[in-house]
Amino acid sequence: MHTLFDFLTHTKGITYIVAGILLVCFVPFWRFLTEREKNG
Amino acid sequence: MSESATSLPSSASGRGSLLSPFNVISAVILLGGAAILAVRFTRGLAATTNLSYNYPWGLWIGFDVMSGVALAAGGFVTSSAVYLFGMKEYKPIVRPAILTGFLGYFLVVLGLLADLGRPWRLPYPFIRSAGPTSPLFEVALCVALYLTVLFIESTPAALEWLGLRWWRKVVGSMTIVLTILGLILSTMHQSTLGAMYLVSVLRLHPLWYSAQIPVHFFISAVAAGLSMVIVEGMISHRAFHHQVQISEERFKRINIGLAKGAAVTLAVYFAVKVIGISLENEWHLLGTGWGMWYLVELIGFVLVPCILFSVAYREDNLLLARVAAILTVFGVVLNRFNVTFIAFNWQLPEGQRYVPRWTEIWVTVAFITFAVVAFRWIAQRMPIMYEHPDYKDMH
Repeated sequence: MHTLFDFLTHTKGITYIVAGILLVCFVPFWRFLTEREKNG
Repeated sequence: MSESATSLPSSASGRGSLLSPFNVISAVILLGGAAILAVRFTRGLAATTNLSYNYPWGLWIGFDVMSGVALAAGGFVTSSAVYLFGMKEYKPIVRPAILTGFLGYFLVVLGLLADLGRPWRLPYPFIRSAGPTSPLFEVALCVALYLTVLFIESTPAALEWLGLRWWRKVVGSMTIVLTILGLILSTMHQSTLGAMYLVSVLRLHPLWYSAQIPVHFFISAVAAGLSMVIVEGMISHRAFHHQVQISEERFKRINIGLAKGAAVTLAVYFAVKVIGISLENEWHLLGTGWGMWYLVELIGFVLVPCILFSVAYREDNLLLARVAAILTVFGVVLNRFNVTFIAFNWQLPEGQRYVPRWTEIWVTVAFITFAVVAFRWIAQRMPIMYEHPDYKDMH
């Protein structure tokens, strides 16, 4: 990385992937949390 | 007091001898604290604290103000849930939470008076030099206004105790307005407490410094508030069991519901913190000593309690929820300590780092003791843990 643009492109790219993983992980977390409600 | 006081839960049974172990220990701590404060106000901050130009904010700001405000967030969280979002099942915990919030904010002001070099200038932002572009101005304004809101929100219990029915009705009619004000003011100053550190880009360790630090402070305060309500309920339910009118089962349901809220809040907080590391590209710092300390905070006091809260909700396990709540409270206090003085000026050599003096710790313990004694005094006399029979179904 040599310029601010390089830095932002790199970090934003990684952050989009991280945010995507976290969003996907939230689905099983929510299902785990609320499973009891579905079972009544 | 109103005539129907005889039909109220026995408040006298909670009162013991004046020389009970609780009273004696509290008196020793409070007298010690008063003596130290007397030295502080006669001989200055240098005589009682390890504060310096490198560390103008120490334990009194890190705990009494930063942590105190976060831990008092249970007041606005529960009152908003009940009065704005219609979660009426949580109504029995609103009064203890608001009283805890009021005492918490009162301690913030006491802590500030002890910490400020010239405490008589505390009202200056309102009467002399506002500085409306400063985050500190917003904090001062919001804390002053919210303390007033919390005071008014706390008065129904006192008015019922005194039998002032008309005033009680007037304050009751203001509930929704006060709750909205409390929500707005809390959202503003909880985050602005973090915003004050935006200027410390070179002083605060990069792992704790973030452009999103106001968001971090706000979300962690919501988690701290929910957890503090569980911890406070655990203690007060035992201490005032003779006053509690709701069943054990309902009390458990309320706490398990709070555990669910805390689990989701901590999950969001964890995600926002990880995104913060990614945005600043600080992954490599996690392998350093400071990184290990950061991971202790992030995993040990955010992720672990988040999982414990989730399992507690899933398995209907109140004990687990309480363990998670205690961990979260410790975690938020640790975070505020890290931001205020542990990871602050982290490049300084060991000899110049700030370590609180015993007198600072004593005064902080004395402030907490003062809040506990005040809570006990009020709850023993006023309808905090139960509903006054003459005012049922009123706000």
